[in-house]
Amino acid sequence: MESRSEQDQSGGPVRTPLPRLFAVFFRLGALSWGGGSTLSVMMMEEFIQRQSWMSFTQYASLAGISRISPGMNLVALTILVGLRQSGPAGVPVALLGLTLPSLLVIGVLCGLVRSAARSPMVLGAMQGVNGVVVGLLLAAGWRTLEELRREAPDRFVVCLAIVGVSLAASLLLAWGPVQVLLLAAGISMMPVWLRSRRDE
Amino acid sequence: MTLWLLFLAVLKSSALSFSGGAAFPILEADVVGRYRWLNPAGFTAAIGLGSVSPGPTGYGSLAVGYYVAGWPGAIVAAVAVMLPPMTILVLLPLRRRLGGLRGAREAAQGVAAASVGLLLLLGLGLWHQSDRPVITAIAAAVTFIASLKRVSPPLLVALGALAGVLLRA
Repeated sequence: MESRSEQDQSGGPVRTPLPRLFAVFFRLGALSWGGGSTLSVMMMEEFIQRQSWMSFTQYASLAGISRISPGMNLVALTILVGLRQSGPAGVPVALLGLTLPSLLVIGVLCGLVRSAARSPMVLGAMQGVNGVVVGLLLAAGWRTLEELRREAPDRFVVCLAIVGVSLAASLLLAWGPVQVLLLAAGISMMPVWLRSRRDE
Repeated sequence: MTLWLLFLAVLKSSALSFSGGAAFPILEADVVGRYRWLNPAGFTAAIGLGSVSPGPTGYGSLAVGYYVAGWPGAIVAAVAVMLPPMTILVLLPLRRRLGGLRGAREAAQGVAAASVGLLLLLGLGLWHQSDRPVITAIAAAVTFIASLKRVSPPLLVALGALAGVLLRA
């Protein structure tokens, strides 16, 4: 968190006005067609280059912290940047800016498709979309594996074992996803606990 | 009552995942499996429409919310996905005091690894339940490869819809 101490020394951060903050996040929310990877690149460019809000190091520090929070990392990053730029009021304003475009587009789009759900054309289209969604879900899983290999190469074998355990628990024991994820978190943390107990 | 249960279901799926797509298997277990608000085709349609909309991948939960309960459902889902990341505001001061949360990163990695297995099972499950398994398998394989080559999801969904229309005509 060097970023904060640096700013405090220079007489406190310059606050971004709330309307400006809202506009920046609304733009990010509205133009990020293509999901998380698109949005993540857009956010980095926006904060560092377009707005000059922070250096790359400061951005990397915030992005790193956002990764340990439950829920979507990019939403956590939005919260952190909103707080940093405009104080506590910046949190809801940044979140609203990011979310409003998605909410509007999703609502209108789903409404249109649902109202025409019986038309043969929409039925055909949605059958085509069905396969694409299956492919997107599998690709999301694959990309997660690649990220894990990049982030923690020394623990990648553990991660692969956890994939196996999660498949076995779901298929053989009929465990629900919640139990599977809690088990995985436990297995993954075990070496750290054991090491810290040995150190004490 | 449905809105409240929907809120809890989206909140749970979001809180237990660290990246967007990982929430969908958890959400599907409740929305399709437990409460039967949607059938598999409806769930897939919602995720598909979520992918052609802007914003993070996990905002597909808003589309699921809309499919379950219209605009109120989408709004409830939007609030529910914004709450779990708020934990970061609590973790932030803790992190500085404890010098890093011991094991938090490893726990996140474990959850991410398990979500790979859950995404695989969800994908195969939705394929198994689709009306036209062969076409679905071909579309899924093409999408998988194209997506790893960084072709944008909205474009892929649009192409899938077009192919679906042409095959039916």
